[in-house]
Amino acid sequence: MSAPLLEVRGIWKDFGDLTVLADISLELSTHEVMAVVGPSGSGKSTLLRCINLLEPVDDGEILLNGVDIADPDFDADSVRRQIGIVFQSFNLFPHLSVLDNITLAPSRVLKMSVEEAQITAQKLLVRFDLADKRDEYPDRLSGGQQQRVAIIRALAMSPSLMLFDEPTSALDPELVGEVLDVIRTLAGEGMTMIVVSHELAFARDVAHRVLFMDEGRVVEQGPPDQVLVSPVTERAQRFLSLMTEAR
Amino acid sequence: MTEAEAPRHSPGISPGRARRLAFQRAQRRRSLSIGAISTIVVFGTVALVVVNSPGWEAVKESFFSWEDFKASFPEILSGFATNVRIFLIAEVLILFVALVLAVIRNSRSPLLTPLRLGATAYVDVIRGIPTIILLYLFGFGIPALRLQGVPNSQEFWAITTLVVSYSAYVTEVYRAGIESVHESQRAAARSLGLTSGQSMRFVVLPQAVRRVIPPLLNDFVALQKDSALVALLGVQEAFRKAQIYVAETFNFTAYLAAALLFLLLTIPLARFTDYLIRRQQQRTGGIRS
Repeated sequence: MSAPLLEVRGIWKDFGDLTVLADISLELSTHEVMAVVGPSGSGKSTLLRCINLLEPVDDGEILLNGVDIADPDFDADSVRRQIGIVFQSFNLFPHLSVLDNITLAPSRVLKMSVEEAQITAQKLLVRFDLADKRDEYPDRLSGGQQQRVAIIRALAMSPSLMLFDEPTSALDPELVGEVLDVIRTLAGEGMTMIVVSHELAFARDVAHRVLFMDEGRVVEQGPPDQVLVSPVTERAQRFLSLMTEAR
Repeated sequence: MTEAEAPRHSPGISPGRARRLAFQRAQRRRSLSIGAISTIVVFGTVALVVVNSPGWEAVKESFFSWEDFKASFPEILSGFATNVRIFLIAEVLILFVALVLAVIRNSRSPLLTPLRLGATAYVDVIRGIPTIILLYLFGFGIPALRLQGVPNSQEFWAITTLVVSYSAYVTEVYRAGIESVHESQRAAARSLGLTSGQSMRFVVLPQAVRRVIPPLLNDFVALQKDSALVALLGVQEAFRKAQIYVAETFNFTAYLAAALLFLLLTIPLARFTDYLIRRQQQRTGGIRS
């Protein structure tokens, strides 16, 4: 097995008096998909924001290709362009058309020419069945379409790692499927991903490994059939039975 | 889900629907006629009282004299061209200066700390000083120093005063707009690798400026009116021309003529602002992510 693409070693994060991440460690190899599950407030989103350097960690190391990107001296902008993140609330730019949402970063950050950026965007739009929406503005799209555009926007930067922060939580139930399908397709193509999700069936289906978090700690970690079917810890068992009851 | 087959409308106009429509029509007719009658009665009474009051002839003579209006209007109109020039130039400069100040006030770079402090002090101080005092300080004070290379033109100092004064207000308008853009927009921009400057320029500012267009226009209505203040420096604009005419004739119609010219600009602009605000409310009331 090759060296892991991402290695998180003992990171800590406080918000004031509240410890949100306590000694979190994980490893992720290229082409691997990790699902992060756990009750709300357990620090899942903060973990993703820390990996993407949107939040500075208070202690610990985050190695991307063996380089510690959490080092305070490290150039954060250069890391963020390699790591795509998809937010729960889509966060598309409302003043820009779908096409401009997608081409903004490639042209400004990667210095692609406008034509080149548009060709890349067009290919992605065609692939994910959104070509007819390229000139629309985000508020004219359904939630599912908006989230798919947000995924394309992140993919246009050709990231080596994609992070998904509860990508379907803000969607109406009938729109969840189309977004999950996109993520599934990406997994099938070998995209390295960390997916925070409450869709346990999906996690079991797509993820190679599952991380169960509670109160800022990793409670359990392992293959989906273990963590999501027969967890060892009492905390994970309780969460799981609550989640299945809700169905 | 077999309800899909249920009819969406009553077939034809059912008796129940017809009765409700008739009721609504009757109500509309009633409120329309009541509104018309009460308006006529109120304004009619006011007009009668005014026209029959003992001083009316004198008022009419010195404020609403058609002859004086005709005699003074051409001069005032030519003066008004100066007002238009002054506030157009001032508006462009204010939009630019205030935007720069607002971005500086919102920057987090430690390198810009002195500029940030300066911008904050500027806004605090200038907003607290009456424009008329600034006008005297700049318009009479600085030329009186007789410094080399400093322009003496009254119009130059008039524009400078308006820019200095209004930039402080407009900076705050911009700043409110910048702060109204949700933090998640900046996060999305940064997550794509944009620098903080790029995020500001391509993501935050375009949204912020769009949101503050109505309050900006509001400030410009005020600016247009305040362009009359520069008459105090002796600039030959509409109000100054009116003053001259009044001093010669002791008839105040000329002031009304000047006021009318201001209204012709400010009322449409105010209506346009209302329209933009309404449109914005409709938009944000609709589907939003």
